[in-house]
Amino acid sequence: MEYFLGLLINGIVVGSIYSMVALGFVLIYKATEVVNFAQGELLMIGAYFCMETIVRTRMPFIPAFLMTMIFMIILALLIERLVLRRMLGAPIISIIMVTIGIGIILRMVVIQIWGATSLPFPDVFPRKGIDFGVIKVGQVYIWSFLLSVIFMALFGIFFKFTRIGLVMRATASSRKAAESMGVPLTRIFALAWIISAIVSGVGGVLTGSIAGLTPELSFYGVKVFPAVILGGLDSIVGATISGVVIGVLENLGAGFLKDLTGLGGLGPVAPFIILVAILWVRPTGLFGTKDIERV
Amino acid sequence: MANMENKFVSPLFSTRIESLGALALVGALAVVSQFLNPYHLTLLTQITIFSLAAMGLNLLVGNTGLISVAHAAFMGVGAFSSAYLIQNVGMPALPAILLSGLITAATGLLFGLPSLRLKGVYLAMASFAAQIILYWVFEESRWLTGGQDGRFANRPVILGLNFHSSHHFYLLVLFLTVLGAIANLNILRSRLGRALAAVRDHPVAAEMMGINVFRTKIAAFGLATFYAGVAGALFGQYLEFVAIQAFNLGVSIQLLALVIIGGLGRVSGSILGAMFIIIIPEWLDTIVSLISDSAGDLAPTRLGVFGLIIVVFLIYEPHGLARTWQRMLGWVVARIYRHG
Repeated sequence: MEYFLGLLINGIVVGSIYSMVALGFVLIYKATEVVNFAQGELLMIGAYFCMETIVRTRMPFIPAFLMTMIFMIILALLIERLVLRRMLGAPIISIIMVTIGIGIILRMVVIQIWGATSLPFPDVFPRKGIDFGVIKVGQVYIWSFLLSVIFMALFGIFFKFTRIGLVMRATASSRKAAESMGVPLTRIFALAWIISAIVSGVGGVLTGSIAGLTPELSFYGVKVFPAVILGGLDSIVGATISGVVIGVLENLGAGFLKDLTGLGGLGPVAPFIILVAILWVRPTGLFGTKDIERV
Repeated sequence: MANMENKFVSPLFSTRIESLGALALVGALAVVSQFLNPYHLTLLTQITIFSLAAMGLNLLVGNTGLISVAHAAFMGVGAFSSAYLIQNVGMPALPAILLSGLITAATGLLFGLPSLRLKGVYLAMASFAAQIILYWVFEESRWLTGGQDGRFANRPVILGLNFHSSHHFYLLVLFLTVLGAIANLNILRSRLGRALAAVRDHPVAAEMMGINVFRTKIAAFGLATFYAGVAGALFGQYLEFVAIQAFNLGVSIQLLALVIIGGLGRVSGSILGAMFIIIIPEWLDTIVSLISDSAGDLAPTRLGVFGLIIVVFLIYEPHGLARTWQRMLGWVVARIYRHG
């Protein structure tokens, strides 16, 4: 029972991080139709940058975290301005491939600077676990969960109640209509990238502090693919819910199926098996719009 | 060309010079390969095998406008299944190579079929899943792949002809790649080829013109994976040893880079891209070894350059080296005419 609860909690926490990053992914997709294959690398570079800031400058966590966010914003602006802006109007596959290229560059920058071996993330959250009676939960898990929920709530508020949020939703629902109403598309695109980079950065710092730093951290970023397919590619609610679902299934899969089937390493693969299964059974996902995805 | 009454059938090559050039190139390769030293023969064989694999991917990416980031994994399916069929089942080599192409296509459809009904981005994601799942299957299926240790693959004997020596094996690779190229060119000028372009450029209009979009995409994906399977089988036999690491995500992305750099939608692009992707790393290695004593230090940068090249090509030369080549040729021809 304790084992099960541990897996479940771990799943929910990691899943909430997936949800947050998936939110960023769906956002970019809806606003700009860009499928960002560099999402994982953005997440990874955020984690490394935060670690470096803390270790190098001995800054406390919160200013270092803010520094990381600023860095992510600058990075997003650079990517948007230098690469994606020039690709405006290019076929979608070129854009996918350009994000793959950006991903490789970011990954190699990280490996060149910090090496491919794993590094510890500084202890930013108190080590002592909190006792819930049945099970003890590390504070890093609780904080990660809270932070991702807070960020998701912030984005919810941003989209529902601010003017820019409204403009972004308008762009997402019809780019042409928005443009003809005088929406500055390039700025909206830049903003979408900034938001995506921020959620990836937060996700990176959180996963980094849970799992430690390796270049494999980028793998956490691509777990958003199963999450967004499960939720429906264009559904923000879907991304939020299915991130958690994927996190839980992955952890339970890793914990139990290994004993049952004798297959090692099923955990990281499980979300992708789910992805393929979802495409077979219900390609529009749980919340996706039904008609637009068919050709 | 007196028999070209039917205007709607375009010839395989647009000019006689082009067709003679292609013939001369193949002949030259067959003859020259005899005299190459082992290192250069290795490079040439790799380029030829990767051209074959790239032709499949290019049909999918360049001609149909769909992305697969699992092409290396599909090559792996071909490599392992042909090694298994030949060594463990005892099948003759040629049918085994072709059958492993079909097995690869069937595996591809397992992942591709549902997403092909949907927008292109779904195949991109499904193929990503395919890469990860297949690689994991390679790791776990020791009976088939030898797991992390890899497995041996023998060079084939076909119709009594022995392809054990590197040079003879190269001739086999060249022969199959030329067949693949001719098939590819023929597909592009057939009804299917036009359907692929229509699906890429405007799926809705294609549907209205009476093209079955779903079936066309299946054909493209099936062909792409079949090419990958055959190329993978040859790749394994060429190395005489199949290691799962040769089919990881990085290689898939390299193949994708290859077709972008070479030229999307052109057979010449697949070949030029393969040359680029095999030769440039060798040059970079040389440069790196000149700059620093320990080559390991700059290894990540070397890979990073690939990412940079993809981005730069997509922005500045989206039609790839095939276009650059054409432009250079045009420039030379114009010069000759002006002075002659």
